[in-house]
Amino acid sequence: MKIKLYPKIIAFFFSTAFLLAGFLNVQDTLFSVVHYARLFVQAAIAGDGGAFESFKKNINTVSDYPIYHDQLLDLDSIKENLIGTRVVKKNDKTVVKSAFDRLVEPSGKVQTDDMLPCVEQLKQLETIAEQQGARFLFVSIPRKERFVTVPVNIVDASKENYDSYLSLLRERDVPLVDLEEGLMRHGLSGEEMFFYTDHHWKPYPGFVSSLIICEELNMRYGLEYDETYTNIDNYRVETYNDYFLGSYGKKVGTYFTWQGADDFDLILPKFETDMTEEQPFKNKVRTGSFEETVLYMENIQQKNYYLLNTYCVYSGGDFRLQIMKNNLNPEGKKILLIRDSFACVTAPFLSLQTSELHICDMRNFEEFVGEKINVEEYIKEIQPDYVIVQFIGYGSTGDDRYNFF
Amino acid sequence: MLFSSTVFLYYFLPAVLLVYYLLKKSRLLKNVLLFFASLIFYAWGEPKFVLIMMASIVINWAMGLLVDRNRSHAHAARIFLALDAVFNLSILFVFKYLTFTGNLLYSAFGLDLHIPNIALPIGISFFTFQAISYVIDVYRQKGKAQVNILYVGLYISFFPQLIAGPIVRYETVADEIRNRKETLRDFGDGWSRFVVGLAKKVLLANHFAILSDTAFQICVTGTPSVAFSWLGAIAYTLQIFFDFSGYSDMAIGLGKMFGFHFLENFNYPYIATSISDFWRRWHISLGTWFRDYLYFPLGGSRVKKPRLVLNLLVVWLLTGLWHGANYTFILWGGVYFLLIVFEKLTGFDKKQGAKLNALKWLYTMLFVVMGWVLFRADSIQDAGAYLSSMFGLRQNPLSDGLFIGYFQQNLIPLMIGIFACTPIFKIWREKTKNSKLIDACSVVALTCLFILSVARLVSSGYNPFIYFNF
Repeated sequence: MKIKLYPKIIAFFFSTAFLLAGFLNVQDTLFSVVHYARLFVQAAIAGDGGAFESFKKNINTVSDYPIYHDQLLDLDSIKENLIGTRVVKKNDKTVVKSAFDRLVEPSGKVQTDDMLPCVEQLKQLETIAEQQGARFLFVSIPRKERFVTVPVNIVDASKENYDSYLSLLRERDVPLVDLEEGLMRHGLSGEEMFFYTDHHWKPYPGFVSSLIICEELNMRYGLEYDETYTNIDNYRVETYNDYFLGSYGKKVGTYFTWQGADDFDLILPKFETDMTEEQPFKNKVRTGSFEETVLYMENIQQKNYYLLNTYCVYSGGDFRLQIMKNNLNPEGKKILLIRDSFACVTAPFLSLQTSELHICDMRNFEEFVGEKINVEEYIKEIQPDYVIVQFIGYGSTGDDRYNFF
Repeated sequence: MLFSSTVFLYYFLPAVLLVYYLLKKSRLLKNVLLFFASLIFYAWGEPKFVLIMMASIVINWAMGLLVDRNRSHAHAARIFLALDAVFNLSILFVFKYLTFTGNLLYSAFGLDLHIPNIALPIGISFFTFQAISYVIDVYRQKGKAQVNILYVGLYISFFPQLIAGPIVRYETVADEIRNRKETLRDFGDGWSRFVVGLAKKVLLANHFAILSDTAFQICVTGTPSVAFSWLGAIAYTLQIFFDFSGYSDMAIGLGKMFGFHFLENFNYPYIATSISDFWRRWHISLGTWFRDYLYFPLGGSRVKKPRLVLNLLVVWLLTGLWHGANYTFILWGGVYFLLIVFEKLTGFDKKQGAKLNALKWLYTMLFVVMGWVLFRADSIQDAGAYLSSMFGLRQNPLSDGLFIGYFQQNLIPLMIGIFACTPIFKIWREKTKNSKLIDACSVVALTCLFILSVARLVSSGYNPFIYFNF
């Protein structure tokens, strides 16, 4: 029998081959589907009324991350780049390609009244810290959006919000250091501070921020710090080219801009180190060199844009409570740092100046459930010399970061 | 479940196709498979609504038999037909219009009937109209009454056309339910049609949705420029066309892959040169449904002018209401009623000429675009605000950064979209149908379109379903 191969049939087979090749490529997918189908049948036979719903949920979860996900995302990013898309709305977030291919997330205007509760929380924390004999400092990090030009159809109030918030803090006499001024004083321009594809700053500005904090504490409260640890010449900087795809890049794909992925700097001490890193809620303790404790080298040992967060090589990511101890400086000061993810890069270098650096993340992440800390009680418990709050941007109560008590 | 979802593309469709063609020659088993697959497809969205569809299947199957068996007693057959219509329209009324009616009575007369908010089963307007079509076509002897309930079930619930149409009339598929023949050519045509529909929905409609949603949102909270308001309205005009015709293409394509031949639902509506012409090209299955099951029984156009106007009023108000329980849809239908009455009474539709046609096209598109604004807006107030912005009546500027930015960033998709609204490609493809080179290119193009569509689905969280009102 002669079968005519119609072009459309050939196209069907190509498409099917594409689906099948990927489907079989990820054995887990096939096993998951079979596994969930088996669970569904068992539950249905047992008369479980929710069997179909849980089957549906499981299959939807598997299909949300289909085969060749990363390659498909990158392919789509090339197409979007070519057709001139600059604004991508995804999962209630808007990612914008600004001038010079920097990806940003614009913010709406935040009213002063909405910022005031955050100011008051900081003021209250300052009072409590002072009562316990600790000195207080708020470290303000500017958002990346402050240094870019967004397309004319995008309204971004980041600059305005940041300035308003600092004005309010100054009016309330909260001790603060504006890292924008500090970093520029150290020769870093706004453009150099941030990754192209991520909302975070690069490791070097994070490193310099530890110096600025030391300078500020010295100037305000007379902290003596070791300049060995703040001099970049005493570190080895390894650059990993095209290595890191940041949070925005992961949403829009690697080639949404022709810049592609970011280079990533790993800053390693040339000097001897002996440290301990603890995660009390996880009952985890690591002792060893700087690299073995406050760095998580597994995040940089391979390049994987979508499944690894290279940024987390510093500090290991976000934890409710993390303690970094410099065993070579047992007489050093004890600092409590209340932080967001920008401190991942600051904390390892700041910890070198201390005997103990206690790092608290107050945000309401799912993985932190059941690990709530009351900062007032914690200050009373550990009696720090300094209490530092380091946050990005402007006052926002949305993620509980200001929910100290 | 949506066609434009990874769960459909990666799991549901391949699995159903594979099992379907493994069943080889057993038509009964194939139909059983398609019926249960359709129930799973529908249940994926909201399992409890499957019961409503099942009830509809059972009642319409029974009514079809009663109408058929009482054919010799015309009066009895008509009573069963009327009972069936009452049943189907009651389902539609309770789930779609009861809450709206309650609100209407409360706002008009202060009468509070304490009607709870009732969730709308997805696709209810489509499958209810198909169910009505079944019994009427049996009554009119345009298709045989099915003794086996499975076949009625398959006709009403068949997943390709279940949630977004087209409204497949029973007479179209009555024979194919039991006697269809799947062919390789149909399968290939069906697949390519499905891919084109998927690309229309995912690559074009979803893209324009971002722009139009932004424009409609901004219009409620601010005063966008005249140019941006028009850009948003045009984006929605393109979005709804590519979304709806994309779904229809996918449905027609899927039907063909299983051996069914559905009628066309769209015929380049945006090249229409009158509103009457537009409605002969847009959502054809709905237009012909109303024409054959309502307009003609009311007397159609072969009546005196006052009666003709009344017939048109009934048809267009119901057409508007079919699209959703909101004043905006009623007004939208009302506007089309006025335009079509104008065209019918003046013979506008029949006047021809190159220059005149260009003017007629402008007139048609002007009202179609403004009509979509009314259709898309959440309320008549919002529609009024948007239309005012389009004509600079809100002291809004002629142009602004929003327009410049969004226009620049969407220029290529807009050009592709406008081109795809015309039959230029279809005409060119007809002329090159014997070219082996073009055939080879079409293989590559279809495969690329499919992969790009899947890539878009995987990467984008923005995949709106705009028929939830229907």
